[in-house]
Amino acid sequence: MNQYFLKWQEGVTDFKLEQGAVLLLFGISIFLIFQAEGMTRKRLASAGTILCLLTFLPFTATLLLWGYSGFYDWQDLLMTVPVFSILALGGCLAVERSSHGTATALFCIFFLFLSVTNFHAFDGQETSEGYGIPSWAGEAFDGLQEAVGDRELQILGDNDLLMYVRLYSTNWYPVYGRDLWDTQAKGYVEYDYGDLSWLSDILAQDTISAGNSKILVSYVKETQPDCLIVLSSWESELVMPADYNLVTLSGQYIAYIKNTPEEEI
Amino acid sequence: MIDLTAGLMILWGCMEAAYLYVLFTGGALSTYEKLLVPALVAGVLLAFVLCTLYRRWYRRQEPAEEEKRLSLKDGGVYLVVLAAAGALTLAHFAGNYVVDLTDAVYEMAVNTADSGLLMEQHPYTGQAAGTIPTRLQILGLSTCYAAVMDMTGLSAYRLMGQIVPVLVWLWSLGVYFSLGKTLLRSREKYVWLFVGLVAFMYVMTAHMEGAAGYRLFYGGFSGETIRVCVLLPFCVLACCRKRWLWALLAAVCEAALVWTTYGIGYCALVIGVFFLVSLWQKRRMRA
Repeated sequence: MNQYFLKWQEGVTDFKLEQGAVLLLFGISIFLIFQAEGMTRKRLASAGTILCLLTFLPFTATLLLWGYSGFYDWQDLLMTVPVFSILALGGCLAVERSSHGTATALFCIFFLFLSVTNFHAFDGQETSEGYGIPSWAGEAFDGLQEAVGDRELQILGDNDLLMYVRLYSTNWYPVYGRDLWDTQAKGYVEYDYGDLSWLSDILAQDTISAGNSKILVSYVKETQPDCLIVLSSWESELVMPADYNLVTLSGQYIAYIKNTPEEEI
Repeated sequence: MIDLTAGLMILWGCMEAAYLYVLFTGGALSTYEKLLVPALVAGVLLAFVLCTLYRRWYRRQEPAEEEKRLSLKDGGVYLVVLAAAGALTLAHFAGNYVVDLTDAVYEMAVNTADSGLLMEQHPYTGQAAGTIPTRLQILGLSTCYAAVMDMTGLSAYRLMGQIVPVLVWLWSLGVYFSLGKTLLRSREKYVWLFVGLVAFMYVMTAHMEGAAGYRLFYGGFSGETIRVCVLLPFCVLACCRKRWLWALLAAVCEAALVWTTYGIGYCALVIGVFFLVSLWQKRRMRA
């Protein structure tokens, strides 16, 4: 049970300012709904309040997380609270009942606050057209595509890049999949490669030391992946086996691609 | 709208039944595609019959309250909120954005469309998977996407990144519209404001990780998004109107879309709380 309690604790600690504002707006809306008439509305407000309490109180939240096998985070549990319905109804009532001047003013202020803090839906990172992946990853994969054409590849590399590889081409297979070090991902499928956190630690670093370089190269010699993608700044430190060709993918990444059997002959 | 949504859920139930049949008989994607059209026809018929029967039964139980048909004209100035939020949302989906990969639906669909095999590939690597747990195998959403991609030739991003999220968004607004009509009876002019505020809140929460807006904008194809944007509001709507059968239908639909604890998902929790509140209200009315 302790781990579920910790999940709740972690969620509450990470509660952001704008989420707090939503909660305050939620409270104002509940107040406005209870002031208004109508059994259905009160049913919604009562159920919303109970669901909110169930998810926020430590004991009930822990029980719920345990009941849902802890697969979801506490933030996911908040989905059960009908926030949009209550906020929208509160907004309508606030507009309708101008006599509740204070509540209406508070509602408008917080709505405005939320708009200002969150209204940046379109300033996300640049994307590669038609793939749903960031442009820096798209550029690297464009380079790889140019180098290997339709050849099927088993790829080993940094998780940040490899998590998008299956969205770009189904000819490419990340050796250990994405989210190698995400324990939650193990809920989807069972991996059988044992603990490779040391490898993920090396691949996640911005620079590579001589010691780590040796470890990585010996791992590549042992497992023989078709392709190793690393940061271009690593080039001088990595002494790869002779049957791997160096290809520059983009300004950020380089790849060592294994010769095909025909090329080796 | 409540009956239409229930009908769509029954339709999904028929498609899921076809999927489970193919999965447990060891069929491939092509077999599922062949079964898809008969399943859709059966679903439409079943949905029509069940919705009509339930509506009649419900009207006998609860005397029908006259429900005014609302047109866009009723919205007046409040339509501006809906139009602004709608324009922002559609602009987002018309462009390019980075898909959120918090679950494996996208990759599973791509793998299935590529290989033609059901649940036999590791979603993250595309290679043969030893064991995919049964609780995940029974979720047929990714295979449905794969079948549509295979039959229509649509790219994964076009279907799952653009078309499906827009449909989910429209479906969600439809459910909220119906909920607005229920909650704002005799104040019809505010129903469009209600829907507009919901549409606006989707945009506002687009950068709150885990919030409904974020899920819709960056992972609108996933079962979790359908749950938070459609199933849970539908549950609230059905519970507000005391149409418990439809609420239970949403709970069953949830079990076929996302991972739940032996079929008990978030909808069940919402229904339980609403049911207790209804009982309490009933008792208070009597007293």
